[in-house]
Amino acid sequence: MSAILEVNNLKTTFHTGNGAVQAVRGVSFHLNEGEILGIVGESGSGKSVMSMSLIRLVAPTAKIEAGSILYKGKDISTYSARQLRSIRGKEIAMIFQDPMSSLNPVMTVGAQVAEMLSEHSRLSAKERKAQVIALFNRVRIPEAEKRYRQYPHELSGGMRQRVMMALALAMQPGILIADEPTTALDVTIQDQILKVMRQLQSELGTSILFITHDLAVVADLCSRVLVMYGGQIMEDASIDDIFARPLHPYTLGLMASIPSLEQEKATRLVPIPGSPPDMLNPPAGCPFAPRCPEAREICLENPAPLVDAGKGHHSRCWLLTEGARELDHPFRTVTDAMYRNRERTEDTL
Amino acid sequence: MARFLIKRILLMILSLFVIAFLTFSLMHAVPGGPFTAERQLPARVEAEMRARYNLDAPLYVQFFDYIKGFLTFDLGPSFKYPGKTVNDFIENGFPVSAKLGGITILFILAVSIPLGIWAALKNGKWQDGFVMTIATLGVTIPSFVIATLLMYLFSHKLGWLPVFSLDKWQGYILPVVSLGGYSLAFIARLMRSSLLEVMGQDYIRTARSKGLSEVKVIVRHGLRNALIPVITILGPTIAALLTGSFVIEKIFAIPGMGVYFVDSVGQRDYTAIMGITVFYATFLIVMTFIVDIFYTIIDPRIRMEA
Repeated sequence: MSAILEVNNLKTTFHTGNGAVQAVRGVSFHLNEGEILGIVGESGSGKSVMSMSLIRLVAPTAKIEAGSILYKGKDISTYSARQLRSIRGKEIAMIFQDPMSSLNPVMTVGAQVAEMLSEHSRLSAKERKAQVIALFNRVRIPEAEKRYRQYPHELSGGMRQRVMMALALAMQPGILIADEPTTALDVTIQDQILKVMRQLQSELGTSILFITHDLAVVADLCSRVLVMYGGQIMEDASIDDIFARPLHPYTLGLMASIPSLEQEKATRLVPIPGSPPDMLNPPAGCPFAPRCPEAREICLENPAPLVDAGKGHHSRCWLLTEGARELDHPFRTVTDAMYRNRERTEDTL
Repeated sequence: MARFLIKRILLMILSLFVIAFLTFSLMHAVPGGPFTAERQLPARVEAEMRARYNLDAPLYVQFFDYIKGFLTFDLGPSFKYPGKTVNDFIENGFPVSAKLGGITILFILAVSIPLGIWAALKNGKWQDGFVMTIATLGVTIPSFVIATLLMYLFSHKLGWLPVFSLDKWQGYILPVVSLGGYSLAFIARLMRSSLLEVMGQDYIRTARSKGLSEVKVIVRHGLRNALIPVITILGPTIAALLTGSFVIEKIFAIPGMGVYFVDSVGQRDYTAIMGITVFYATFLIVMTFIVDIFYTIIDPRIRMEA
């Protein structure tokens, strides 16, 4: 299997009035041809910013520094704005989180999809319309002819997200980036959208980067997963491997907070205490250390190494290194950890 | 659609009736009358005059007589200028005011919208600061100050432009700039803030993700959405400019409707007050109606519903 996308040491920093927010801090990964790769993390982990940085869709205040972003072997991080435009939509397309606001309210949905075709192909207006209607049928939009002439406000959330999918797939791109495409939809609609997505993936062979905070969706859809936290990749593994032997304490925490249908009524979900780090002053060591029940002194002071656990499974954790487990805990309880964390932020203020 | 139009037109007629009624009541509530002067008229003469202009009838009779006349487009005789009717005033004054106003509107549109777009695209840079400083000045400095300054500079000092004359096109420059300054500045600021807001929307990001050039993103996806608030303000602005401004017409000695209107209030020229107020109100209501129709064209989310 060859990689269609290879990202090395991607960093994205937002320069704000309060200082530099380091949203993405050195992310490296690859996406294989025809693969669905899940990226999981809570809000603020940098997963959306990371994915938008790939085709430079982040706000102008953001600065993207990357070792390289290789798409089919070509480094698109060095492309000019003009060159990059021929990649956007045609080679790498995106679906966004909120289908309510992602479509232009004053343009018919048909015209919005047709615009993609007129930008990247030489079809006549008639051919474009026929193709858009074919796309609508493909993403299972009923009454495609009628929908073509309708405006976004006349469509339900699920229908709009299908329009977004038709839009993203119009040019049969090599990569589809789906940024939490089902988060804003209710569960039944979510299921339908995922079904359509899986079907299209097997028909067209598009590689998909699927961003979500929902491990259950990842388990259902993806073949491999990256766990992101504090702008870094904490763990990456195949889907079978990550559920069989999760190595990173953060991944364990995420799994413990998933409700299960079989669980007893009395069993309480276990949340991860604390909140994500402040990326204005990212912690010196492992970003998860202040919330980590297993943390050692070394975790707070030094960035954790990415440890190869075999079978393509990597985890960024000190505990997986020789002799780390024998080190002292820096604090006895999680409450202590949070208290200490607060002291640290107060020091920096 | 048809139901919407009928309902709107009926509402417009009702609004006009209410405006006419309120103006009529307020006008008669103010002390003094058209024949009040420093030198008191002999009682018999005044009674004669009042009888002649139907002013001795009960107020409600006068009001309904007025409405009857209005429906046949007869706005009545002027009380102050014997032999002239209010229709004459409007027929003479309105074309002058409307021509000046029309040119001003074109000038405002041609300058303020591109200026606002330019400032928005250069957000935070010196060009933006420059446009916004000028626009803030334009909104805060009263038109008579601008007019006087312009006259002093371009007519008196430099001698480039005439002060009082609408015979030549040069004569229009100073009145147009003074009259339009405020609205121009206001619309430029509105255009800028509206476009800035729209450019931060999610669908702009979607448009960019399609690989469109920045120009296409702005023109196809940004502008149409950003123009919606601008169109709202354009209706009343056009009505106000076409019906004339008292201050500018007074300063540049332009024989338009604005001057007649203010003079008629001071002189208690009842029919002239009523005539011009109702004329202006009609204009405003019709412009608002046109703006509402434009809305439904530009924004499909707004429906014409009865």
